[in-house]
Amino acid sequence: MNAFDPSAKTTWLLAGLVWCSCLAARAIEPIRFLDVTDQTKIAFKHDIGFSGKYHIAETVCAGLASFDYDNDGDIDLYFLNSASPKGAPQRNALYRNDGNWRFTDVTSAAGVGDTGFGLGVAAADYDNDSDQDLYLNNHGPNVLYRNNGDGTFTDVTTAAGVGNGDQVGAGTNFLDIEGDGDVDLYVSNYVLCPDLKTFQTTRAGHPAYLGPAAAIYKNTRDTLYRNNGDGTFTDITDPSGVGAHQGAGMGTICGDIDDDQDTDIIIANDMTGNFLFLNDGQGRFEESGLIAAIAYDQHGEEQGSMGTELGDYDSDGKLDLYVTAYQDQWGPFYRNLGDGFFEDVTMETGAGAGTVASVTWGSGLVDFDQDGYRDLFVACGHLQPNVESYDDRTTYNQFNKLYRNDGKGKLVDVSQQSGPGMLVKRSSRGAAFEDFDNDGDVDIAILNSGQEPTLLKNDSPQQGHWLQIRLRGTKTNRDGVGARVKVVAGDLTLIDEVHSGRGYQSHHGSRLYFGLGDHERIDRIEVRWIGGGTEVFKDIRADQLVPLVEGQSETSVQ
Amino acid sequence: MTKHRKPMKRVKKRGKPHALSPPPATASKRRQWWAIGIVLVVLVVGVVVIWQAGDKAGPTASSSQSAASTTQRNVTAILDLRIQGTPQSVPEIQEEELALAEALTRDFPQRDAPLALLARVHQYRGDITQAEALWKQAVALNPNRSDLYESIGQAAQRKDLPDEAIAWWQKGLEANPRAPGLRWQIAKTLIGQGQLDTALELLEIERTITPTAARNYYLLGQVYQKQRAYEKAQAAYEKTIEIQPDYYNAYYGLGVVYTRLKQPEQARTAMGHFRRLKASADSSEDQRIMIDEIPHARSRAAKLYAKAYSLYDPKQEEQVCQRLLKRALELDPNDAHIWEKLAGHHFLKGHHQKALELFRKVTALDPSNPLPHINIGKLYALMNQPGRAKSTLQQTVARFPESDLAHTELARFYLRAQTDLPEARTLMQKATALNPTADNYFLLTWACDVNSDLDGALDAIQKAIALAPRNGKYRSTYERIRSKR
Repeated sequence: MNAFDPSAKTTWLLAGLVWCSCLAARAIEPIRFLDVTDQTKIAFKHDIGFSGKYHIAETVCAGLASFDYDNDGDIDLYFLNSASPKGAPQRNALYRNDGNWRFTDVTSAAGVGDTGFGLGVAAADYDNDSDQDLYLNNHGPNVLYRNNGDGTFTDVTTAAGVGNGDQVGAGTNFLDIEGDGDVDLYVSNYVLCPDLKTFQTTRAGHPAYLGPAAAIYKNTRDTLYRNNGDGTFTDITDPSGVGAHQGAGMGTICGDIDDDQDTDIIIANDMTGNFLFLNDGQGRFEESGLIAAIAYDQHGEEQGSMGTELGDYDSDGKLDLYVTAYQDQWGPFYRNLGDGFFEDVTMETGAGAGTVASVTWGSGLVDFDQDGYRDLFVACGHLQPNVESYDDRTTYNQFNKLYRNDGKGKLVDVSQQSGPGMLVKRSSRGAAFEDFDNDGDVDIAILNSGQEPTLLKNDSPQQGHWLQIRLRGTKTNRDGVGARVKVVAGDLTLIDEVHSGRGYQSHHGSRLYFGLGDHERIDRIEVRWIGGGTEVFKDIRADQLVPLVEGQSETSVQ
Repeated sequence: MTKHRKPMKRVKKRGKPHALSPPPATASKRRQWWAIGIVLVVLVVGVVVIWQAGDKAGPTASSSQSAASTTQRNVTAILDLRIQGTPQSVPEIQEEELALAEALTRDFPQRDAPLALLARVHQYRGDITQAEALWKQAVALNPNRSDLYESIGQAAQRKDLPDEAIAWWQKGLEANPRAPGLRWQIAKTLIGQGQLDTALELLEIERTITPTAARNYYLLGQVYQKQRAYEKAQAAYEKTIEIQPDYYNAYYGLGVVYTRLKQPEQARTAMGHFRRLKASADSSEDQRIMIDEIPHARSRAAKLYAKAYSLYDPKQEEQVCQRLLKRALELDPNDAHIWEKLAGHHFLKGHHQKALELFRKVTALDPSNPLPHINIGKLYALMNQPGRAKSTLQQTVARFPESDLAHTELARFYLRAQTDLPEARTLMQKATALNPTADNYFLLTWACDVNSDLDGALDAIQKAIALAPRNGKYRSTYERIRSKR
């Protein structure tokens, strides 16, 4: 047979059609992820710390942190682990990003291999020495690792006074509550657990974990520490007002919800009303979740709230809120109406469609295709390891979900059309969203419960221009935590804030990411520093990482 | 064709010619055997006929029921297997539930009810796929079961298939356009999809069918809230609360609406009510997950036995019925509803004293239920104790002023006893106001008639006919009263 043989022609024609189809399929995938986990050589494997007692903490672990611990321009990864009661103790793991999707385990060298039962983590420069420190919120005593600036950390928990006793931890955040230039510390606590031999229940006769609504678990209050500026903290839980409220805290996030230039706090409470602590600017808080209409869903029913995420999905200059939830629930998506009020737009937007059979955890409102609109990624995975024995609607390992923002108020489910990375099926928990390969778009790192993590490379075809911003405070806190950034490019106006601690008990986003669509230049960037006034940076080229240093703009607005 | 006979043996007899006929004794014996055989056949046939005829001599029963009753019931085998006392583990209880439900489907192979019960058992076991298939089989047998369409729709909704859920609920409405709640379910789902106008239309129809259902107004509030018609939403939520003061979801909606209307103080007040009512609801709901699943599983199994009881004819299969209820009570001795069924069973069998004792027990277990009190009153009447019957029924009306049944039974007592006739009419007016059913209007007709209130009687019977136009008794009553006028 030669190439000109009619049957050969048919074969070539068919091959060409198939090739064109593949190209076309790829072309209509505006967002595409590849699973590059194997390539990274990350050997970490999470252990849930199964004790045989069916303790609730074993189901809700854990978060992870993405931050540049060594200030080399690459975002590194810190995974939390649980404490295995048998055999060798498990430890957390720090992986240094060496570039090109290669990571190196530097846990021992860095001295951050805590063997406590890790649940939540946050990163920020609490001592303003230009490197990011770590706080671990454990089931048991917490840990504050001070970054020594040389690739190592020191456990300064006791000296700092932030051990928080023996509690079941959850999300945690650094935030400047009073605008005094250093970051304070919010520590959420999950539930109070009695000392029982077993917490096991059954579901249709199969052994199962109890949820937080069980009578044996009690709600508890969170802890707020004020940074004294000298390496120590003071517990101000009661005088701040947060101590008056008890919940079952899980994911937490801090941001200027009512746009009054101070940082407020949102706590996702599991099976009880969520909290919104509105800051009066002096570090005193009033709980306003109910009036703000974010405590419950649109019918006034509580959710199994897991993680929290803030982002301006409709580009109206206000931070909207997404809260993940348990099976048989749609995690509510709240549109910020301003003045501290929200509206449940879950159904209208389609956020969370297809997650009724899933349990959802970490999430990110990120512009993956850089068209100027924030998309939504949701990490999924059940918490009952044998759920398939008694519920044929769901599975323990679950697909994650991806929703593309169409720019008209809808979040369209594109999970199954976004590349092989979205076909990974695990029991996922915390997720972190960073440009790990410094190619301009945002990738994803996921901690999977009892399993290896998943690293997803954003392989989306180039859709739009982009901008990344790294804030550097000088008079205000060094990381710019709590600062509000507004990017204006032609008719496009985008906002974001630097958060420390977010999603599901995780940390990411010390660097800010903006998709700019067709805009090649940015007209202006306004940075409102917490406690430091507003600065304007003008005429910036797109498609770069821009360090913005407080006090170095052309125009300062006090 | 004639058979060839064997040649006769030639019997040589001395002095006598050769004989060709058989010996005389053999022929008569054969005739005897034939006669005996015929008699036996007749006897056997007769026994069979009589045996089968005996089954048909009782009250009317379904053909499958009749066929099965000639043989051992499958459920009997299940009951025989059960040990005395209670199962100690959830898997044991589940196995018993499954065995029972499957036995019911074998005892009643062409009925929808056992299939629906088996579906529910599979649902509790987490096998929703099998449950759905069984519900679908059940509706194929009985397309009028709108509740089964509701179950199938809910299963679809829990699989995040709202369009499929709506389609099944709409089928339920085709089967029964007045099925309460299906339109509400559809409307709620449509609201979630943003189809507000269609939801509004459905709710308006639903309001005509269940005009006193608070949840209709609640959903109207949700629609108006989403349409940003906040004053209308406020009115709808307020109406919800007027009908059902503990409807905390409505207070939540009201609070949200007040914030939109920039009335913060009213918002705080509404949210305060919401918090209080919700806390009270949370503390009383039985959804708090306990460590021990067994009591809940036993209770569920007990209810299954009680539902199984309803499938058998207590007059024909008293043993089976009694054993079912006995097993139910072994599993959950605190279920008032099961004790009530047992009391009803004895009532039906004419064991009045026993029924009386059992209904008294039910009143202690479930003080908020008017039915056992009513039945006690009826029993006293049957036991020829009219004084006690009257006082019991009067006390029931006083204790349960919102129970139309209580009013109806006391009125019926008065009408039968031909005493307190004006009071009977007042009672029936109250009953029809509480529950405007055809039967209640018919009884009101009687009460008006005996009080010579022909206008009232005519009005009442016309309402009864409007609700049940095919009822011949109502029509003949109407004619009689009209002719009296």
